[in-house]
Amino acid sequence: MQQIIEFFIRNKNFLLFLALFSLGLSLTQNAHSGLYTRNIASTNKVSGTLFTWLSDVQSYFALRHQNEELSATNARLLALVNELESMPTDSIQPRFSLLKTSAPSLDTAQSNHLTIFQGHVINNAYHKRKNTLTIDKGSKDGVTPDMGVASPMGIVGIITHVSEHFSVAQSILNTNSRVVVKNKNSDHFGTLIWDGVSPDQLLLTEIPKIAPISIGDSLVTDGKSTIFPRGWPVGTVSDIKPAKAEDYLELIVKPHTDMRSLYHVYLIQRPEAKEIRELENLSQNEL
Amino acid sequence: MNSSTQWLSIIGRFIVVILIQILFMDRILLFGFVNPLIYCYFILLYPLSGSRVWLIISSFILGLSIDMFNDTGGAHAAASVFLAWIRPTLLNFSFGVSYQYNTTKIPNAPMGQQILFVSAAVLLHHLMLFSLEAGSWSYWSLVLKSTLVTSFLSAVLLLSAFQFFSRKTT
Repeated sequence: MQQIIEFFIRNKNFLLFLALFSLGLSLTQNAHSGLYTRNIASTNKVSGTLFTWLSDVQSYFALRHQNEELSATNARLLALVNELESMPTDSIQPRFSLLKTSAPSLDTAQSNHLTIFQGHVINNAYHKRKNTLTIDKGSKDGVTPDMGVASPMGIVGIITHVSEHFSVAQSILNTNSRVVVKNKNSDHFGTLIWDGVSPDQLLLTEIPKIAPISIGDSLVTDGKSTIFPRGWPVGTVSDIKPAKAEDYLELIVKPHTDMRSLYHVYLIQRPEAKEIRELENLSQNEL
Repeated sequence: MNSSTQWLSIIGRFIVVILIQILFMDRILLFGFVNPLIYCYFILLYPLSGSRVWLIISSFILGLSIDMFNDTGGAHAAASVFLAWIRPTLLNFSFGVSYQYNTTKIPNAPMGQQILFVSAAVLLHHLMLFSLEAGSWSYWSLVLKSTLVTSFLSAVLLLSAFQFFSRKTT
């Protein structure tokens, strides 16, 4: 017994190191698989508040860029409204009723099919392999996990963790990120991933060779997942290469959003998401 | 220096390195990927006569605080604990066995020895950190590239900080 105690006392530094090191490793492992321990994610009060102060200051320096982005979106929406108004009323798809309803508050726009919250990115990483965004809206504002995050230019991520006042999103610049996107004109779809190399470059995989696709084509979300509605802008094809698997292509995609400067974002919720997910779980359980 | 002021200065340094790291250093991204990490300052300059147990525990908390702001799980914590544990070996390697009996401070040692100590420490810490952060061997070339470039920048900043912020008295 004495020897055991002596062994512990003699090696206390090493044992302490080993215990804390393993704890660090397991926390890292959890983060890689997307399971953050509650208080170690940046949604906690201390880091959230600090990040809010910082981004308040920083946002002043990016005002011109943000304004240009917002006015570009406005222009796009105005063109869309114009186009819709010139159509006969019956043929307007219900999802566009978003543009016709008045929002209940400045922060939220609602339609029969979508709820869109407005938020700000208060911490943005793009130099790591598993990048995340911290956003200044939380469960108090109605944010829930699995909501889509889009900048005025295009999609940027998916909410993974929510605290009372803040939320963390998995950036599309995260090697775990998988988003189903399709060619705007042809309906051929593939999975958008990131290889961890450049923040200007995403990869679109699982596109069959026979798909009619060319450099410069626009890609939009597919709408088959419960996260993003159909037709949200993603990016453009900048290069086409044969994939490792035969009969498939690998496309290099340039995202519309400059992931290096994010501030205004929209959090998108599909009300039917919950129902679809419940239904899918149910059918999976029965199989 | 009596022990209570020493404790206060250790705690003060702990808080200051965290604030400098997250408020200033984490906003720097040279060439889009080089993010200098200067919080190792605390671990490197922890008093030579101080308790090793407390060094290991405080390094873990230091790393975990940085992780909290970066959403990296426990990568900074693991790398910092590793650096804290290996520090005596590095001190031995750079300054010779006599460092234990020497009352002199690291910033007063010959420059060559300081450079050796800081570069070895920073390289090991960054290699550990970036490997954990990548989480897969398939990024080894990126990990190596960020380790080398970031270590250079961190080491330069740390050595300058040694010269500017450490009291030269023995």
